[in-house]
Amino acid sequence: MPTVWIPAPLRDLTGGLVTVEVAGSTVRQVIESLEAAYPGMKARLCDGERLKPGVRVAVDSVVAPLGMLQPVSPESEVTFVQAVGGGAGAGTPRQARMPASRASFVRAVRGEGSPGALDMGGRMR
Amino acid sequence: MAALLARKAGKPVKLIMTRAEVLQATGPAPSSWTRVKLGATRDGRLVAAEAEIAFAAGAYPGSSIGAAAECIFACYDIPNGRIDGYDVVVNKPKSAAYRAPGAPQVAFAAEQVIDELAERLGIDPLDFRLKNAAREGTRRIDGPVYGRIGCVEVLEAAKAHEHYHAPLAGPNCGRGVAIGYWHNGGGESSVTISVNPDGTVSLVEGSVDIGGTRAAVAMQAAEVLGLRAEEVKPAVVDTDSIGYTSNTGGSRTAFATGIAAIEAARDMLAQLKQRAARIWEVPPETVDYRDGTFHTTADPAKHLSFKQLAALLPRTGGTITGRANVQPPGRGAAFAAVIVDVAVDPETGKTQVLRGTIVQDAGKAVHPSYVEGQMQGGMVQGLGWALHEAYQFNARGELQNASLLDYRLPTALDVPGIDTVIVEVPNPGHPFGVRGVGEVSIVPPAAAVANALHRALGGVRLTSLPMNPAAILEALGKA
Repeated sequence: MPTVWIPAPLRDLTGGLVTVEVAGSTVRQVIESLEAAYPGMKARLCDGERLKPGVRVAVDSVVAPLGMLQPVSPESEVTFVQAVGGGAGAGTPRQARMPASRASFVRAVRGEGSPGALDMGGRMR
Repeated sequence: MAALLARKAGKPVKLIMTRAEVLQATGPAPSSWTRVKLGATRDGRLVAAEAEIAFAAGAYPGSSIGAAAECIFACYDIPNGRIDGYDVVVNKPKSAAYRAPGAPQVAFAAEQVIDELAERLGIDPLDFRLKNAAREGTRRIDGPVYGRIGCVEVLEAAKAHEHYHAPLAGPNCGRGVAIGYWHNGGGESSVTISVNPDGTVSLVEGSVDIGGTRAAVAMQAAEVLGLRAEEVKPAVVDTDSIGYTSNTGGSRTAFATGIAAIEAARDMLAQLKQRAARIWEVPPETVDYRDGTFHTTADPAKHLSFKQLAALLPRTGGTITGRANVQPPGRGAAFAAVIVDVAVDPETGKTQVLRGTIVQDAGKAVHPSYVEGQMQGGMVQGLGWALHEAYQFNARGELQNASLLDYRLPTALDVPGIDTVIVEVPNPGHPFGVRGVGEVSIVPPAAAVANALHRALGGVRLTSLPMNPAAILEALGKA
């Protein structure tokens, strides 16, 4: 069966497992198998029947141009990576939970001419 | 905006911006804050790496933080790692891609910590990097396992270069090194290729040429066809005239559009063999093409050069066009190493770059002088980022240096001649081994300059860019 390397942000769903084996001959089938074994996985990877804009899939370390339709062999390793646009802006990343020290990041990005960061509540920090 | 207006008006629309508007509104590279922590054994083996990266996205989310997180430790084989990246929305213009977006900022941080660690352990900076270099089979912290890459070869070439061993005389001088990574891009490309009666070939592609790709793509087609490069005439056409082609960016063009040209040329050759078979009245499978000539095993006496067959096409069934639409998966990552020597005037804080060398893995340099141009161009941009360039905003978020008089670009007076070394570790994902070359050269220079300044300034380390005279004087306590 193909092996899936679980990126760190998704290991809460696998109980900390870094690699899992699931059935599937396409990326779509692999994701369905992941969902069956680790509920919630599909929602983290997909928007409906497509990979989320910020997610790419690599099969045997090669970014798969066919995405969900990419064939997967029993010996393949499937990895989900952050989408990056070389020479162009990246897709919108997944909203991460705020770090423990919001103040540290506000200090970090506040520079001359920048009052700080505008948070989602409209407050300037 | 221009596209929307053109759709509304049904006519072409041209958007013209003043220089100030370009600087104010087309997006800076994201400013950043990076914290790096590395752990190594006493003999210099990296065992753990941790990074926190915050990028200022500007008014809307979507900076190059993902690429930054991928690239920060990508040059090294580190068994334990954690990378946290944050896309921070701030009241500034939205950031945009520059060159290898996200990578130079984090290389500036990581390569300085690498340098510090090597110094503390008493290990030569390049030897330390070689000991821990990523290679085929290394798993990056974000997951993928490397195929064939040239990180080791680039470092070895840098170490073997005469520059690294040349004496560095004079006070307040220092030499620094750094290495950088860029993943390069793939994407969609389309090419059509037609035979002309005189035996030349017209190649039509959709990749705008910003650094010599027109020639590199044509040369790849010529290689397949056994023709001289001058006999393949490339044309870059508009979106109505060729199948979809992704943007020229991401160091993808020589790779992906090159593969499209190769496959279009192969398609053409297959059709030409069929035509030769028709002319000779032999089975098509008996026709082959080598050394610029078509032969048939059915009759060894029969042969036609490419040019001879081209002349026969009009009256034997018409011209022949090969085509290809590709989305190739096998892009090859690239690595570059920089060695730079600097001298600092302690009274003014001014840094003079005395010498620069860049080593880069091109996979296969189809047009070496164009590759060198990309290497030198990225190096110069990196030196500008290191020593001169910054967007200055006031308290209301307004850009204060919206002109090229006040936005300090490097000039020819600031930059020495830059030696280039092209390393070729073929990319298995391309028929000729091509890797993208356009971006990785900007990744290491700022870090290399910082490491050089650390030595020139007697151990003082600068951790903010640009490392301009004011910053250096402040670091020396003279501001």
